[in-house]
Amino acid sequence: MDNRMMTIMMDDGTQEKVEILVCFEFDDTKKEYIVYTKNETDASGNITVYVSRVNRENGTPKLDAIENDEEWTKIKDVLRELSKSDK
Amino acid sequence: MTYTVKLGPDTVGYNENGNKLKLRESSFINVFKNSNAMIKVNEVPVQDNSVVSNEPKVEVPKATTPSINSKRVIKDASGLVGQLVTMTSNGRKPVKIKPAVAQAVARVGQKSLVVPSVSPANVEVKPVQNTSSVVASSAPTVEVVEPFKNHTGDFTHSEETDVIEEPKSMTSKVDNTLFEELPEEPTISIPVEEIKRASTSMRNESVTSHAEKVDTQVVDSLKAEVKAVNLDDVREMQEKLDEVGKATIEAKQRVVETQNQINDVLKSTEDEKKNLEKLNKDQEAAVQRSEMLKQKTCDFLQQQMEVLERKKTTYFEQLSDCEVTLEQVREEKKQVEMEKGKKQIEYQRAQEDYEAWSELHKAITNRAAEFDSQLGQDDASKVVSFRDLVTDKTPSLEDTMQLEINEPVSIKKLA
Repeated sequence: MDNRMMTIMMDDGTQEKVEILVCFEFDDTKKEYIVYTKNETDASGNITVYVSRVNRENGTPKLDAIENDEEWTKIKDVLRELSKSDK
Repeated sequence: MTYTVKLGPDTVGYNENGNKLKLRESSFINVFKNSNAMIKVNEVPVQDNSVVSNEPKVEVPKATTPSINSKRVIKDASGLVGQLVTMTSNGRKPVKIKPAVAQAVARVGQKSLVVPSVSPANVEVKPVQNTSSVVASSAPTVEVVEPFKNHTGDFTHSEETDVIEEPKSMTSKVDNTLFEELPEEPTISIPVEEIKRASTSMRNESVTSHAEKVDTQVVDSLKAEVKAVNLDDVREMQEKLDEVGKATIEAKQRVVETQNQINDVLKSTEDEKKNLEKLNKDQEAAVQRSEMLKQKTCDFLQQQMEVLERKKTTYFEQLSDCEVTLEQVREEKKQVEMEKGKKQIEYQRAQEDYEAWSELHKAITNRAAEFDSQLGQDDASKVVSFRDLVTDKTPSLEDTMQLEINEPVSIKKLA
């Protein structure tokens, strides 16, 4: 997975290297999302992953926030589904 | 023939022969770049041999997980790999998951396959139609999304693919499977590399030796055919061929001649066209010159008209003056004639006076002569001086003599 690294430039100019887990798009809304991680683990060993909406309107990809809870719920469902479908 | 299979737990599909298939999503094992982006799916024999029908059928499983109303498609993230991407503030949401789940999600992301939704999200399953490919003819295929369609190389199998390539590890009741295969369907798994190797070795087989073999065979067969051919037929054919050849040559010559004629005509036409163009240009120039001349002539005539008009006016004025002058001359003539009449009358009167005076002069002269004769010669000067009173000139001797002789009466008249 080393070759799936991406650099994110934050608002304050700092940069973070993250590892892309998956990108997906909803057929109905045509919104694209990216799931990535900084490989942070908590005490229980859980990994923190991040989800952002990929905005390609200006040609250059840009990461936007998830707009509402309904969208977030659908994204979590997708993550659950993906984890199951891979088994 | 297309199979539409809705993927889900225990989803059952049917192959083109109508045999029941139980497949699972992870059984995708090979993708061939020339197979129109289809994925070969291994078929695993199923215990029951029930054949439902020859028509493709799909059993739609009941959703057992939270419904997702929209189909989601795994996208190729390669466009973002290595990129520097900006993010808006709070542009991400964190969620904690177990490492195994994260790995599973990551593996799905690397496959970039269509991940079926639990709700009606369809994946088309098609039988392999290109039998030249490595895929078995009865093996159903699953369409993939765009990233796989553009895949040009051999597909690198993921870990679970390798697992699925081993049918023995699959049972008829495999958890977390999407499809299961029927037992009677043989597993067809032909490594791509092996096929490629075989194909390459076939292509690289000694072409020369093969060609030599073919040459020998052809020569032998030709020899046999030549022996079997009748020479008369050959001659006849040769004559026909000669005739056809001659006709062909003649036709070719005619074609060449015709072509030359056409070229000549085309050339002459071209020349005529050029001449015509030149004539047109000359004509246009002549028309222009004519127009210019016409304009100049009109201008000249206009000027002449104006000049003549001025002259006419002048002449009329002069004529009028002449008429006036003529009238005056006539009047003057009349006056002159009247003056002339008056002068003639005066002249007559003067003539009459002259005659009267002449008679008087004679008379006086006569009287003077008489006095002279009476007074002697000494008094002659007095007579002369008296005579000067009557005339403005000195009287000659003759006149004096005449005065002495004539007219002593006239003096009386004067007195």
